[in-house]
Amino acid sequence: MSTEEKKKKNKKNAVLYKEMTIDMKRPKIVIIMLLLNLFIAPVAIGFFIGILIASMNGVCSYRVLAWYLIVMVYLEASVLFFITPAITAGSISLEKERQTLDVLLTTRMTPWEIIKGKYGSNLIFLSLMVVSTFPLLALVFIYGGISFIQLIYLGLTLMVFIAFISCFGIFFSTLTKNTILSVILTYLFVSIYMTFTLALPFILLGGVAFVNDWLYNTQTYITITDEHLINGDILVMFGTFSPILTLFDVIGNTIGYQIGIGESVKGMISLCETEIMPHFTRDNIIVKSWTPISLVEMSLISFLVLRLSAVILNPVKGKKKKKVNKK
Amino acid sequence: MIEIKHLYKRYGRFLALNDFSLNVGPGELFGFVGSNGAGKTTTMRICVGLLKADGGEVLIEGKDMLKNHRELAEKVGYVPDYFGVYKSLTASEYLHFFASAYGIYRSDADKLTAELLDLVNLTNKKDTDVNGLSRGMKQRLCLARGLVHNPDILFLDEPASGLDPKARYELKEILKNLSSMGKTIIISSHILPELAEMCTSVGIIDKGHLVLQGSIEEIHRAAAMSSPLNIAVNEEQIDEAFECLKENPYVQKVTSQGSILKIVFTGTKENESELLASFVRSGIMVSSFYREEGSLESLFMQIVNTKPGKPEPQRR
Repeated sequence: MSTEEKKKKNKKNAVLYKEMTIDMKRPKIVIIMLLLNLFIAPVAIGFFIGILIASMNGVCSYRVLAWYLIVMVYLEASVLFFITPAITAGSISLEKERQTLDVLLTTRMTPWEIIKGKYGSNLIFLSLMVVSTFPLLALVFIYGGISFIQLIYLGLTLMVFIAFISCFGIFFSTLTKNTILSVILTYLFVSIYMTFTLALPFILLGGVAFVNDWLYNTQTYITITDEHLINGDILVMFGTFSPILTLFDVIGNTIGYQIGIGESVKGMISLCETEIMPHFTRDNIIVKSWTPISLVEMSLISFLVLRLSAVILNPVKGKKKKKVNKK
Repeated sequence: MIEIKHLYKRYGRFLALNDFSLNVGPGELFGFVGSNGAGKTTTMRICVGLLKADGGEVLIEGKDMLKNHRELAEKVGYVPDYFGVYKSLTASEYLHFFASAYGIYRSDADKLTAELLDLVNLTNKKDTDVNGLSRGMKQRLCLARGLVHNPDILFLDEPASGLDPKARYELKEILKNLSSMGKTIIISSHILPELAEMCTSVGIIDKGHLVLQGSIEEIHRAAAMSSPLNIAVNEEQIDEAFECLKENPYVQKVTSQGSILKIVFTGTKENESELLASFVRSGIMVSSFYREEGSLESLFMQIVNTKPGKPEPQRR
C-alpha cells in the first residue's frame, strides 16, 4: 500500500458539511424561519396583550398562561407538520433532478452516508426553527408557571416529532424522481399515519367495550356482574405510535390542561380509571411511561425508514445477478 | 486494467448489452464508439458501479467492481453525459465539496482545487457560480471533478457533445495531457473520427455487442479496407470477371457501373495483388485497379449497418 493510500481519510460527512456551511447561508433559510415566527408571533403577541390586560385587572391566573403555552406548542407542531415534508421531501429527489446524485454515488460516500448527511442537515435546520421560536414560548417566564427544564422537554419532543416526519420525507424523496410527487406522497402518508395511529387505540378499546357491553347486557349463558369483563386496556398502548397522542401526553405532563380551578388533565394517565381504560389505575407505570415509550418507538421507526431509504438509494443493491434471457 | 467479461443488461424487453466483453490496458486512451442506444452509457454506468449488470462482471485491476465498489471508487473517476452541477456553488466550492466526498481534508483540498482549476483552465472562474459558466466551462469543471481524487482510470461519457469547436479542441488537449500523465481514459462518442484524432485504441459497440476493437492504426487500416475496390475491365469481359471474383474468398459484394466493378473486398494488399494476378491469368483486360480512399465514417457506417451473421473477417 502506498503512503498516499495509507493516509488517513477525512471522515467528515461531505453532504452534511456542504449543506451546513454553504446551503445554510442561503436567504431561503432565513425567509422560512422568518415566516414561521411571523405566523406564530401574532398569536403570542395577542396572548401577551391579553395576559397584560388581565393582570392589570388582577384576574390573570396560571390557567391563562398554561393555555397560552398549550396553544403555542400545538400551533408550532402544526406549522412544523406542514413545513417538514416541504423541506425534507426534496432532499434526494432534487439531487436526482439536478443529476448530481449519480456523481455523488460514484464517490466513496455510501448511500447510508448520503442519507445521514441529508437527514442530519434537515434536522439541524428544523431544530433551529424550533429553537428560534423558543423566545415566543419563553414569554411565560415573565409570569412563571413552567420551568426551563419543562420547556426543554417540550422542545425535545417536538424535535423527535419533526425527526419522525422528516424520515418519511427522505424516504419518499428516495423513492421518487420528482420532488412535487415526493412532497405530495409525504403529506399523504404522514396525514394517514397520524389519523390512523390516533384512531387505532380508541377503535380497539371501543371494540372491547362493545363486546363487554354485549356480554353484560345479554347475560345469556352465565351471569356477568362486571361491566368491563374483558380487560383490553393494554390495547391503548398502540397509541404510543401516535405523535398526536404523545404531544397530548407530554403537554399534559409538563403544563397540564387546566380545565377548571385546581383541576388539571395530566396527559394519557388521566384516561385511566375512566370508561376508556377502566382497569388501569392512575399510577400505572406503562401509561406513565407513555412519552418515553413513544419517543423510543418514533426514533426506532425513523432509523429503520432511513436504513430502508439507503437500501433503495443503492444503485447496485443485492448481490445476486438475474438470469438473462439471451435471445 | 479493465476487464469486462460477458456483460448482459436488459431494460424490459430491450437487450442493451449482449455478451459484451472488452479489455482496456493501463495508460490507454480508449475510444468507445457506437450509435445512440448502442450500449455505451450502460457499459460505463456498470463500470463505475451505478448500474447492476444482469450477467457478467467488470474487473478493475483484477477486482470485481460490484463487490469492491468503495475501494475501487478511489481508482475510478466518472464524468457522465450531463453536467450534474450544484448551481448555487462556485466552481471552487463545487470541487471542494467533491474533494470532501472523497475524504480529502480541507487543507489538501485547497491546493488540489487550485491545481485542477489550473489544469482545466478555469482558475479565473474559481469564484464564479457554476450556473454562470458556459457549457464548455461546465464540462471542464466536471472533468476536474472527475479528477479530484486523482483516479487511475477515467470514464468520460460523450464529453464533447454539445461543445463548440474551440471547447472541443480545449477538451482534447486536456485529455491528451491527462493521458500523458499515465491515466487510463475511456471516452465514449458516437463520432469515430473525433475519437480517432486523440485515442490510442478504439472499440466499436453495436446493439450491445463489441463488434470491433483495435489500436488506432488497425482501425485506420480497417477503414482503408472498408472502402470498395474499383476495377475497370474490358466491357466484353464483364461476365468472365464476375466468374473470377466468385472464386475469391475475400470478395463480399460486387456491383457494376458500366465497365467498372465495385467490390467489397476484405483481403489484405497481398490478396489484392493475387486478385489482380488471377484477372491477368484469365486473360481479362484490366485498365485500372484501385481502392477508394477509406474513411472512418464509412467504416463505422459499414459496421453498424451490417446485419449480424454476415462474414466480416475484421470482426471479433
